Amino acid sequence: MLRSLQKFAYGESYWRAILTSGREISEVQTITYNGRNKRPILWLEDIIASGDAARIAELWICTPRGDAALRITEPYSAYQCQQGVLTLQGRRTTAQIIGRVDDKASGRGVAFIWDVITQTLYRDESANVTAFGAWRPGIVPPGALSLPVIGVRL
Amino acid sequence: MCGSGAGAGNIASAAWPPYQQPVSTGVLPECWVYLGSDNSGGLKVTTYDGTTAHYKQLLVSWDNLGTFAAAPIISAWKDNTYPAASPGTQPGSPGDGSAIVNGQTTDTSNTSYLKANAYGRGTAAAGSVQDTPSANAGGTLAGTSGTAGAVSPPVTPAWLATWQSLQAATQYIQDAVTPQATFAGLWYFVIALFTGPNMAGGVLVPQLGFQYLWV
Repeated sequence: MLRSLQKFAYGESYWRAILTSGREISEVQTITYNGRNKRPILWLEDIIASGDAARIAELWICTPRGDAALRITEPYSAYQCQQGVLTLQGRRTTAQIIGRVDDKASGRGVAFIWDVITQTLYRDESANVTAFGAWRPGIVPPGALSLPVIGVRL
Repeated sequence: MCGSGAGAGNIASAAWPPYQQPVSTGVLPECWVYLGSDNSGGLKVTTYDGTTAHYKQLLVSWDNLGTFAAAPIISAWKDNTYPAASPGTQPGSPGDGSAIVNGQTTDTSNTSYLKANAYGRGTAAAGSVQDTPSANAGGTLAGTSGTAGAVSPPVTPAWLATWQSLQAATQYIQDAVTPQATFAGLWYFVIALFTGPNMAGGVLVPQLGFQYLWV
């Protein structure tokens, strides 16, 4: 709860997934490791490496201006990543993407993008993981996403 | 960035002597770096003189915890909202970095006044390979240097043959690969800042940045 409020205070979003078992897992939760230490839930560790990428039933993006969700029926079709900028002033998150590949032949599907700069939730009906486009004018298109990292198998 | 001998690490750069507007387009001879908001801890980049005869000036460093989700880029923006550039348009009242990033028709052929070159990939996509330069960047560097869209340093690895203009999403350097997951790396790059007779004066503060996707 506190971490979600912290995210929103910075104008940022977070992902939340509901697995086919009904279990909920989220970026703002923590996990215990080595028996006593805690760390935040991580997409690569706790969704991809754990094998849960095959068991996502719903993928949500929770933003300061409301939530959006994708229903997932195909294993390894859901993905998530974030965008940031590093300058001499420090590091800043600028966007978060969740998506679903609907056509594995082309990599095309639907995505929601929370833009921290404009505080706008964009919906891209033709998002393509092999050539992700700019969601608004004036930004660099992310291009090809790293499929093993985001959790997609074409 | 300043004239020879004008900078000092214990003085905020805004208080340095103004750099005189030149009669022709050329490079600024000194580069200083202030990390964070501390105006008292400036560090002179002693390997910077605006020429191509250097190879270790600046680098982006990442640890083995984060994981890139796409190929990162190096560019410059007029402020920290990272907006689109307006190539060739000089602002009426400077106060951000648009005078530098936008460039000017006569001085820079609408490319940015800020140029850069980068070496290799930082790290390869796999195989735990770090690209570290051992020779000067060299290559073609002029006030008009700049290629539309992305340019990527060779994976051999090598420097770009022609320096790139850093102009928001219009002209930028993009890594040729997505660097290897959970593998620490360094991506080396060098810069050169030009100014010219048609550049708007004032305190100019562009955002030089490394933009990336991660999980």
